[in-house]
Amino acid sequence: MITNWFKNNAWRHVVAWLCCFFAIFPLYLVVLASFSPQKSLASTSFIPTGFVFENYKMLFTDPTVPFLTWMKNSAIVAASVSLLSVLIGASSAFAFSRLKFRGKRTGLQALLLVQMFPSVLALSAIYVIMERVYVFAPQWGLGTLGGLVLVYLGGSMGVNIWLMKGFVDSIPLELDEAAKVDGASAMQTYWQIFVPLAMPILSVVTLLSFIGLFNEFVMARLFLPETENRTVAVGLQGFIGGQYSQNWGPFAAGSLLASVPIIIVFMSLQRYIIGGLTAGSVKG
Amino acid sequence: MRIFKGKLIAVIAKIIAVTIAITTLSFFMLAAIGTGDTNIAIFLGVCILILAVAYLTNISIPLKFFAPGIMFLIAFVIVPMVFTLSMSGFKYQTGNMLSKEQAIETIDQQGTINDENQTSYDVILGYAGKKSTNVAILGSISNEEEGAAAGIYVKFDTVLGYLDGDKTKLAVLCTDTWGDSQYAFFLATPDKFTPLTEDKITSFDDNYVGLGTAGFKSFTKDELTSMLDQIPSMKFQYEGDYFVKLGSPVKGLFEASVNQSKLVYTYFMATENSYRILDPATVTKDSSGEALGAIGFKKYKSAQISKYADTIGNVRLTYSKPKPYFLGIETLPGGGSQYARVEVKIKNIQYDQKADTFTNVLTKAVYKDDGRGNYRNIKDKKDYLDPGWRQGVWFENFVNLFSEPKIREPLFQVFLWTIAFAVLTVVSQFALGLLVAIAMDKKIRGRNVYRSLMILPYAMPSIMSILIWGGMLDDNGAINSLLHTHINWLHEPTMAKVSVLLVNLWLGFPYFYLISSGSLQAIPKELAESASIDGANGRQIFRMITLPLLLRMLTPLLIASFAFNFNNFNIIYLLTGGGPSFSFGSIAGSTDILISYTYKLAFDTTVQDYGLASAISVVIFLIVAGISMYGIRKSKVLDDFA
Repeated sequence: MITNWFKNNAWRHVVAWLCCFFAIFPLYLVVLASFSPQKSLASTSFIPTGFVFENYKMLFTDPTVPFLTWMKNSAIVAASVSLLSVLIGASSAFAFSRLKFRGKRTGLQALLLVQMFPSVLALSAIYVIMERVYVFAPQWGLGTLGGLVLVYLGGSMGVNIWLMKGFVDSIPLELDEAAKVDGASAMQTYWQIFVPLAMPILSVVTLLSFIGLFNEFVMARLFLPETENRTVAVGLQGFIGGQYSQNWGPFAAGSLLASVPIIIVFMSLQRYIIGGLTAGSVKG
Repeated sequence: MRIFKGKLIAVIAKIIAVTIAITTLSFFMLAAIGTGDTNIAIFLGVCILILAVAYLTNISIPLKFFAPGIMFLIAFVIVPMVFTLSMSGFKYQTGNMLSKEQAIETIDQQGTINDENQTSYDVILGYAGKKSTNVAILGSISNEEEGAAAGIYVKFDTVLGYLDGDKTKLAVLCTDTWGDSQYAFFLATPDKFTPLTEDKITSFDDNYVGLGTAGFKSFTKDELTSMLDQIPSMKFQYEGDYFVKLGSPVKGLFEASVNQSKLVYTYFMATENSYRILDPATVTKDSSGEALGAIGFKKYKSAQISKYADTIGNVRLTYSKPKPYFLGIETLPGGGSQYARVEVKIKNIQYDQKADTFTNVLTKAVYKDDGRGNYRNIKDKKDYLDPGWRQGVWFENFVNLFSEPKIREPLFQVFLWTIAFAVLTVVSQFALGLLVAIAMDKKIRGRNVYRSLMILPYAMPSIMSILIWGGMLDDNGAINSLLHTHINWLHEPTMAKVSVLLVNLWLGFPYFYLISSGSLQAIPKELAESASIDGANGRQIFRMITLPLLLRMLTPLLIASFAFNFNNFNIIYLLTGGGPSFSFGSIAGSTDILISYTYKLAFDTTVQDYGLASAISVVIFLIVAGISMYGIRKSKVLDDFA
């Protein structure tokens, strides 16, 4: 009886326990470190050694670690890019999914191909371009949040169009055919039938895109050399800068604060994300 | 029948939106034209045209949908991509970054040396005439340099000290060891000169140099050391218009020289096209006789100096000696000072446009375009001029990937590890994810809690996770202190590889758990049931039915994941930085994958090689695109293209 139970269920719990432990022990340690009175890395233990808010306080008071500014920068950049890119990309996704035109297949293939070119590899080219832009439009060039927004917009376009096309494909065709019968133009169908219908999906794509952008590091790091301008990922990386032993406590606090909003968004979107997973999107 | 309402409002909204877009773009286009960024201006112009055509005419319906998205895609993805591809055909590295025209201009600008005597003058910066861009300098040359001033050229052995025990009352005791002047000994303060006779001297050294007299006390060695900065500016009274200045200290003594306090100056003004000696009557002077201003010369204000700093720094002013001599402004006045410094220079490197060669007028060496992006000395192949330019070399960068041992060997190792890393990552993530999915494929108690905890690594922003792991794997980090070990997780080749894989497993197994569990549910239960009726046990069912079906469903995702990890820059760069290096000074390291290696080649080293980095980029792109295309074909995404 017992062996049977073990055979059927116990091993499942063992696997689950072990994997849960593997999944959360780093997070547990970070939470501990963030509340620990010791700033240093050396005295790590599994048992809390104290409970203070010093590390969090430092993030909000120390002028060399403008954590709030970083968070604000990240939020501004990620929010504006995700909103704009969905706004701009949705119509292309719609066109790819619904309109019939010459060169559609080529267009889709090109989009797919272009999207595979890792942006890290085109960094130097983007850098050179934005350096020039800075000369005539200082608000939108290298070293500015505006410039980063532009570059991200371009970079996220391919993925988002591709992702949204998948979603649009799943909206039944009957509706726009009915609209066509009623004499609606393609644009009218888009704005009056498709957009309201797809609103939930568009919001999900926006949020997914937001998470992805929040995670972006390479461009942001190359683009925003000044401490004040950094996004939270670049800021915290610069802050820790290989010197884990000294700043471990405040860093732990900062990384948690930066992660919590994303975790919340992610968890609340779980259903859609897992649905979208099988559509072939890999979270970065 | 439904009527589509709001047509008028839509039209108005459209017109407003299009107008705003076109106005903004036009504004930037004009700005780009203004700064000479023709390519960008043309691009913006085309964008404006497309917008206007798309939204104000009815030529193409699809264009209305695509126009904005395509513009961003072209500007920030396709153009950089094409640019990268084209860079791979150039010798494009530190030292060869410019265009040929820019390189010629720079060589021409920098091709100067100082004259034989390193002559320099302190001058006042300003402009001649009315135009403030017409840089001019006003200089005063004291005739001391020409040897006509002092009349007497006398040196004394001197002790620096003070009077009456008051260290602020400076004085010097001088001895004329050589008998050049009429005074054998004298005491001088800044404003009083007192000749002394031998009997007034209380002590001498071996060379009969006076060391002491009544009321005078010399400084100790330490005191002198602390005063060294001030000594050159000290002046002590000598006879009449002359004063004594201290030179360099020798064994506690100074060599003092006699100088004339009222120097005779010659004044000159130089502009780009002229050099002239000024009539002293047209010059305003300060108390010592140095020029402060002159007729026809206007001094720059501080604001003007910073405004014209570039022009001022590059201007070549005429000197009294003819070309190739000229005056270059080396130091700009700063912090209220009015004096800039000019140096006499010789333009030794000269460009001959017809022959496309540079010649060094002093050494007579001729430098010719070597076809490799540099001007090279035709007689001495090792001697070339900096900077070079980016020279088209066709496929040389690609050939070098395979033929140049210095490039090929690290690249090959990096390539092998990239494949190993991507394969091991996918296999380990999938294996663990699948195990968990199978374990939780039954409604066991607490399944939802397990599930929520297990997807936490996937929900965390991966950047933060990687940085956190970096801290935990640090030499003094949590892992070592909890295990009581001293493992060098990130800086020892094998352990670094293990660490990267471990962290990536942590990051990715929840993803595979999620997709595997979804797919497991999609496998019809009847299959397993009928197999079990046929007598198959659980293991056989898994091996013969579940796993093959699962693999078939998930192959496209496994391939996509492989492609993603092939270029998983963040984990490598943030965790180990690609290190540890293969050997001291090597750019590539044990955990470098192609993309991180490429990034380091282009950005992280002192000698940046864009050409080589671009060539590797192209190779990476071909590999990844090939793999992804294969995966997509498998998943049949492209089937419904029509």
